[in-house]
Amino acid sequence: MTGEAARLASILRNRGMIKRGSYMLHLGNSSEYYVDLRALPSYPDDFDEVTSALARLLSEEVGGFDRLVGIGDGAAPLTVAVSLKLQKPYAIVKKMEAENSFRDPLLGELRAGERAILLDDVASTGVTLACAASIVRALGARVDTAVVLVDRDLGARELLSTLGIRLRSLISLSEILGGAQRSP
Amino acid sequence: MRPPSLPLPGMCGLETKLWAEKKSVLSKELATILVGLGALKFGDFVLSSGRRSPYYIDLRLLPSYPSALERIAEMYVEVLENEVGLGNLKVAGIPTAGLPLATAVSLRARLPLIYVRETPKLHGEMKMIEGALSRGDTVVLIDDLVTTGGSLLKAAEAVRASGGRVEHAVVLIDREEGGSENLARAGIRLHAVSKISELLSWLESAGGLPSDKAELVRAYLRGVGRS
Repeated sequence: MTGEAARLASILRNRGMIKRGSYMLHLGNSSEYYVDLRALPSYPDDFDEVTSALARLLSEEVGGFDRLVGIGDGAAPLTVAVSLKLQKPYAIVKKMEAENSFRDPLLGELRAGERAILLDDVASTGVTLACAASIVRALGARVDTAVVLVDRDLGARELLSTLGIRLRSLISLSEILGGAQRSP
Repeated sequence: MRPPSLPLPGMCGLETKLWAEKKSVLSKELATILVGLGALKFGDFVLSSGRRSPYYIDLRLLPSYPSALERIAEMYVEVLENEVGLGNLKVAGIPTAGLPLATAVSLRARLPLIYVRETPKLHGEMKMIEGALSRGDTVVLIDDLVTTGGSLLKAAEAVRASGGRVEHAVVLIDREEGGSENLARAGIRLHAVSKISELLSWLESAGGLPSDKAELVRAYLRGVGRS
């Protein structure tokens, strides 16, 4: 694990964002761990550090792109922070949830043919990212890369690769937990 | 012997006057940004409340222009500094459109961000507020526009139910349709970077809006005021 990943792991652990217990996830799956990064923007210094790392990954490792597309309200703070850091346009695509109306699936705009990078806080099975990718593609943008803070290694990478999308993450859940075992 | 100290600017109203002048400059700048974004539309629109309006504020293009978003966030922060005070505050974003703005404000002022969920979370833990909120925290609500204040009131209720104290709300534009009064009744002071009537005046004087269209909007605002 790089120094940066170790630092991120310690922020997420220290802020109590990796919870142990029995939790219901999407689609009726349950898990021993629950990853909830929604409180991250409540800690301005940590939020700045994490979104700077995301901005670095995006500016150095995914090639040129036109727009960041955040998935749902949960990804909106991350997306806006990185958009401001890189001075890149963004949009937010609504999450596929029964309670959402699809009158307008998008906050912001997408332009035909532009290269959009999907952005979310956590990748689990990849179903949410895959739905978002199909919406963004249906609206005319190109999608070949998704970036998340934490990859839970529950199949998102594989599912997305069948759609021609490469998943990049700052850190995986196993790296975070591995770090937890090593620290006292 | 020490000379008597001068009265503080606030005591002779100078500070207030300077801010009022500065705010009118902000209004003018905002009008320019909004015209650039094609955000001010005049015609016949149906608002989400069902009410018909002769104008519509469409901020859909704002996410495509990070520099405009940054400048608008600075404007919110100036309002916060001068009308609320920045000490010991958390900012709460109102989804969907208010959340990106609240994020930009929280980054600019380095204030903690929380947000109100549109629906309670069904998986994981059930709650209406996302983010770190403790009993007694002072929270200022951030949204893009206010019409009658309904969504701000709903958000205030959710924050208060979780123990937060809500006394102020800041928006970019007050549509002047009773929002300020409705919020005041719930103990919340509304602050706006600008009001639709001010934006109209700027547009009209800059030749960007024919006076018959401006008059149509003014008649609408008077009608709303009476209802």
